[in-house]
Amino acid sequence: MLLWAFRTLSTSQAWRPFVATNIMQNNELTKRLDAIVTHASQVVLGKQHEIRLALACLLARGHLLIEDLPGMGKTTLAHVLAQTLGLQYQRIQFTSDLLPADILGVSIFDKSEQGFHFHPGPIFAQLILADEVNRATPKAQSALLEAMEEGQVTIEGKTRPLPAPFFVIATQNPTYQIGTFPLPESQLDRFLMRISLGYPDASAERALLRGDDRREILKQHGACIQPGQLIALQQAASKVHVADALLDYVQALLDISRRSPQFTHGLSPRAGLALLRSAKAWALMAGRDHAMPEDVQTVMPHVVSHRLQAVAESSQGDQTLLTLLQDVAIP
Amino acid sequence: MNMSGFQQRVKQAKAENLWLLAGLALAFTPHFFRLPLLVMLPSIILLCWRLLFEWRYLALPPRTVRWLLTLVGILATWIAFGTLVGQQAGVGLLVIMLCLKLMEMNAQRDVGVVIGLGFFVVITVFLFDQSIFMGFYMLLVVTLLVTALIAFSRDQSVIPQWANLQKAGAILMQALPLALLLFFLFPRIPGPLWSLPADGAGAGTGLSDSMSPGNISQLSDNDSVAFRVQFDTPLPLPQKRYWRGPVLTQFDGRTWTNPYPQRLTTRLSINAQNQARGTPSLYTVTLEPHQQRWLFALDLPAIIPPDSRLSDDYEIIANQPVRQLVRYSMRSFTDYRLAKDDIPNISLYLQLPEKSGIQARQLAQQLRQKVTDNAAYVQTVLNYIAEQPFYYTRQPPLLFDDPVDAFLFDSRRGFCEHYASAFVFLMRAAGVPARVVTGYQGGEMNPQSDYFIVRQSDAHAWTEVWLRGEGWRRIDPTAVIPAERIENPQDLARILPEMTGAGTTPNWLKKVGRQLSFSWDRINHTWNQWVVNYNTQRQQNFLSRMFASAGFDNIDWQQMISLLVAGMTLVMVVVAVYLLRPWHRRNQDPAQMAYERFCQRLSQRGMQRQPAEGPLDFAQRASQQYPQRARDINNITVLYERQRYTPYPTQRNLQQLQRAVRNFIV
Repeated sequence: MLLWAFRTLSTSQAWRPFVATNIMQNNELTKRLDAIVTHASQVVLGKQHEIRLALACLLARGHLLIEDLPGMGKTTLAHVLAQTLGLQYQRIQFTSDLLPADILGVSIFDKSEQGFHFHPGPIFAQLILADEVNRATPKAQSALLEAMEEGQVTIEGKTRPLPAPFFVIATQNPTYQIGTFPLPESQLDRFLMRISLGYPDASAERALLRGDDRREILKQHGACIQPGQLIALQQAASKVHVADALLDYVQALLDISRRSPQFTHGLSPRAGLALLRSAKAWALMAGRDHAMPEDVQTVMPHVVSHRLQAVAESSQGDQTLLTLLQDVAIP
Repeated sequence: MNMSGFQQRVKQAKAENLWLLAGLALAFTPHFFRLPLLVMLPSIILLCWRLLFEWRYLALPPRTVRWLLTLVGILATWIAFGTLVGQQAGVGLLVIMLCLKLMEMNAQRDVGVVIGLGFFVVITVFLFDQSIFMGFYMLLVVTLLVTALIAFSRDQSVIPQWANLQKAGAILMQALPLALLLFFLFPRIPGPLWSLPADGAGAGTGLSDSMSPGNISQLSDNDSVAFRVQFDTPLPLPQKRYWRGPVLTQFDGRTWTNPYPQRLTTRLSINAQNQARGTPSLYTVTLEPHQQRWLFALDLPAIIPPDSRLSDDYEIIANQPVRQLVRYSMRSFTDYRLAKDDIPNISLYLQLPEKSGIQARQLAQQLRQKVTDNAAYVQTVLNYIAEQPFYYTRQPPLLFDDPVDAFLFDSRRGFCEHYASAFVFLMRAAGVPARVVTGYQGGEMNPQSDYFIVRQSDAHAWTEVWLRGEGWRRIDPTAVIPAERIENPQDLARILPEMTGAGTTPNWLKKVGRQLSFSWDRINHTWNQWVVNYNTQRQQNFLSRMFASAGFDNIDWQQMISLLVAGMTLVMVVVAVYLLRPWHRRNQDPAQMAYERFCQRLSQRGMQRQPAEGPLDFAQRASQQYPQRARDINNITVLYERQRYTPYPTQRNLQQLQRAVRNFIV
């Protein structure tokens, strides 16, 4: 009896109005998101897909790792995101002599107050650009990465919360470059996505070369949304519906990554959660209130490539991943 | 990035090739012990070359070198065999050419050729050996080759290699019912399907057409089975278990042969010509291939098996050398009188070499003069052997110059062939017609089953003496040696049939060993009966018995084909029902089923949805392909998406979807 009632409720039309308003809200919000993307792609030319990915990462409350050569527009991307989203922005340049205190902040003795006064470090901002994160020593890296995971920092025994939303974009030079400390797998796992920008196409590059200084254009931009709206968007992303059929698909993907001999080890349950979170954010950006297999397929290479290690030496997971995607049938 | 992709491909190719190379290497192994090194060594080198190519990127030879290698391969085969046709040369050529094909295996097509030839090599192994072990070994090889076939035809990097092996196992298991049906029901053609040119190289173990000192004693340690017998009547008495083989009449002082072309007959009626007594023994012999033409039977055969004839000396000669297991039913009279009154060519049985056995001739004269008739003389000679210090040994001293005299007066140590030879000599020297008979004596019952085993170690030589009025009488001079003059106690049982079981007391380990060997022999026997020798007649009997209740009493080949087709259809139907599993579908999401129907409609028009293609992507692609249907395609996709992926699927929505799919026409 109870079961019957539950079933009727869950399938009845009574739920429709609520869902419908939800969609309408989403539609309004996605318009804003589109505006952000449009603005950002005026600064970072020809990289709309990457901008959308970065935004999806943010909406999924994850941190972003950009791996690319110097001068590809990593910093500009971070900067324009902070500006269009109206977030406090801080940039930390990682070097080999960077100390944890340089990131977190220090307590300094204040003579006038006869006590220690805490000077917060650059980490106390909403959007952090950790530039060239793999140039710093593991000690400095871990200071940042712990803050990313916990959303708070503990300095001299006192726990201080970080502002919300808190979003880290770390950039990394390719690991084969000289003077890098590659991030260990466990720390790579803290990043929801890893993207690389790559060279712009010919027309984008022409526009870039012809146009004004990017910094000047940046200055012209204002925020597209209020900070409160960003949190609402993040909440909406987490509420995107995931049907059983989609869960079947995600599980099939996780399963094949574990059974395939191409990788040293398969994807962890955390990676599965990350995949789902990213897919939901991507679905939201597409204006849907439910995730589709296409969403999973779009975000998957960026979500799992830094969590999988291909068995073949010097082989990157990306190529293998694409074949992996092709091999798993959508149930 | 590109580099890594390339390496990935290479790595994958290596695993597939390893299955193939392992399969081929194992298929070649039995040939390696059989074919000359001149052919097998280049093959192995080529195989290793390919392995190194896969492993260490050793380059494959260019076209001109391949041509050269081909010529060398043909030449090597020709040098090794002197011909390019024939069983062994053909197999040699096949193996070496297959290995050369590995040198230019670049495309999928080449892989197909190589694997196909690999299966052919597997078949050629059975030309030489059809034992149960080889059967299972080749099953392993076939599994590896099938795995290679699967690995090569799959274009996926994520499937682990052991999954291919698993798949191969599954495929072979699925093929099993069909294979069994084909095996039991495919009509057998009487006689071999093709007759292979005989090469002399196939040496068999067993008796030969001549006997010189040491011939038979070298068989005495050979425990391999000569033939197996199933008796339908009670076993003959131990002293009657003489299995007649080659009969030898010509002696050159050292070696007994049978040089005259035998007059062979297909007609025989023992009852009219000879006096057979008592009830005949009925039995079936399963003879192991021994590359010669004799068929063995108990003294004295009363019928002639098919495809064979009988010589004047009562040897059964097959029309073809026994190259594969043969099975024949026999009838023999163990009590008989043969050629009672007269024998043709009496001089044949009195022939002696001119210059040997001077002393022996004198001895024969002396002994013959003491008695009145030939029968008494036979007994005198037997007594002479029994009384004089003659020893029975497996390691007789080598005899030079004049073996007969040396044995009779000097060494006096010998094996059955020495005694048979000397005895016939003494008979002939006194004018008594006599001949040497070789064959097998004794044998043992498999206590775990109902058949009789005769081994190579049972090989024996005895004699026959012709006495007027009595006919040919079998005399076994070895049997008169007293037990204390037999050097090896184990031989007691061999030469004195009445004393079976004598010898050293076997301990429990020996007992277990014997039990195991009997069990193994029984398995072999069953294999021979049901697999190797499943011929026309046996098939006929088996099927008639199987289908007797169904009203078939004599199944002809048309009925077999009908049964075969019916059986195959049944298997196919079972497989089809299992694969389609109509009862399984009910669990599936109806929206998914409707959508699959939609995809099926499109795929009929060549618009195939990839398994990993999402519905939205597919809708976009299909709309581009069929712009005039874009609205329907999008409508169906939206309905399907709503039903399957959104939180608000409804019954009405499902019905709409189903209706839309029904009405959808490309």
